[in-house]
Amino acid sequence: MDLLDRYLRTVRSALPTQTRDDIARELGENLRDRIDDRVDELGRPLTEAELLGLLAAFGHPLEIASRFRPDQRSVAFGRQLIGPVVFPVYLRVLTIALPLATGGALLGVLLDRDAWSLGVAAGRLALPLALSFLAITVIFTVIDRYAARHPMAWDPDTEVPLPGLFADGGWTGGWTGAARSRLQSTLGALGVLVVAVVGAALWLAFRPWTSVDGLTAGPAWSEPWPWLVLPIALSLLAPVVTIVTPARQTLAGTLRITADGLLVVLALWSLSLGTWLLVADPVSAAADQARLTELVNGAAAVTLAATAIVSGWSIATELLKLRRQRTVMMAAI
Amino acid sequence: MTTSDPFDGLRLELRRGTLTLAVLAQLRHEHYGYGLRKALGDRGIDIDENTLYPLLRRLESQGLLASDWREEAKRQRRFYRLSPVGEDVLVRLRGEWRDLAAALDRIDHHAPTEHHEHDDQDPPEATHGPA
Repeated sequence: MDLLDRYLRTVRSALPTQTRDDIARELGENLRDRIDDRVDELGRPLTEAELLGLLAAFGHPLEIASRFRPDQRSVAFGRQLIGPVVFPVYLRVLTIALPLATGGALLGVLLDRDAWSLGVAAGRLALPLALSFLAITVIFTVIDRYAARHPMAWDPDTEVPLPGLFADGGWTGGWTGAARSRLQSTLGALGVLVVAVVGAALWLAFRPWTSVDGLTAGPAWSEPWPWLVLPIALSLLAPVVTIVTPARQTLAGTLRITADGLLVVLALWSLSLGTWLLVADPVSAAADQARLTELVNGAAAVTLAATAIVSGWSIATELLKLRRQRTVMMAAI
Repeated sequence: MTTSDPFDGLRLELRRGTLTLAVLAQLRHEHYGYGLRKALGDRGIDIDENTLYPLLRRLESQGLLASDWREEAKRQRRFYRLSPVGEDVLVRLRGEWRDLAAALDRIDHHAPTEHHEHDDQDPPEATHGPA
């Protein structure tokens, strides 16, 4: 019954938190009744392939769970663009991406004195918001269309209990599986893309190669930043590997570990160089410039230290996952 | 371009409300989910489990059904039955259903089919069913 338990755990993880145990229990009893009926028909226990076929016929866990969600909203413009199955994920991504885009644009406006007028600031804030909203809506419309044309089949080898993203418990709950699903990887890739786009927007706003208002980029920023391309590329490559070849979890995990390792190295390198922002001409520097550089350099140091710690933690959890997968594979052999 | 049979969509619409009525009617006697599905199937109403279970939850949340977990044949099952509110709603829905069926019958039996042959020549005439 391991297969049935895995299936039910995956359904359960995507159900509304308050009723998930009860619904999963009832679905489990129903499936056991179906299995018993089939066993009676055949006069023998089901093979694993037959059980898998029965579960596949029952439906993909995400599809099953979506029917129990009280929130059946969708996005329609003349016709339905994003259906109720994908809608909660779309909403979650929007609630993360839009504040990020707003924060990035706001920071860009605050740091660029040319933008300190209502018209320019409103334009600089509205454009990233509108573009982010449009891009995310288009991406999820395509995902919804694709899912409608190619219904997902439950694959017990790669599908694991889904993160709380699909239920109402937020991003955190339910990361109990040892492997990532294609959907998780797609969302991971989207997350990296959003961070990369916001980062690029900030980089353009900072214009670190120029001196602005007597301030210029310090070596801690100007030397390591080109190398950021590497961990970003690897972070994008890892989910692509999972999406294209879900079985190659070790390769995807190794890529993630390498990306996190590079982030740790870059953060520590940048920390060792010390200064992110410099006063171009220290002799004639105003007092507020000195305070600003002190503030930015302090904030950068804290951010870099936090990045190194989070990336280190990520490496540790990834190694643990790889070890767990290895143990499962060895047990299967 | 793909064209789908409009019958399928219309049939789905028609069945949606009918299934609720059938489930409520069947639950005048207590059933657990799988047993209910079989009982409905035996009476000619096929209902997908992925439609039935969310429907049961929704009807229960609306106060039309009551349920509890009990052991039967060494297995824990959730039994559903009609609540007093559900009984009242069922009686009213059955009344609606009969009225609709009767109205459809009247339309069928008194439809002026001869008009179809002259649609091109004559202006349509108003038709009245029996009061």
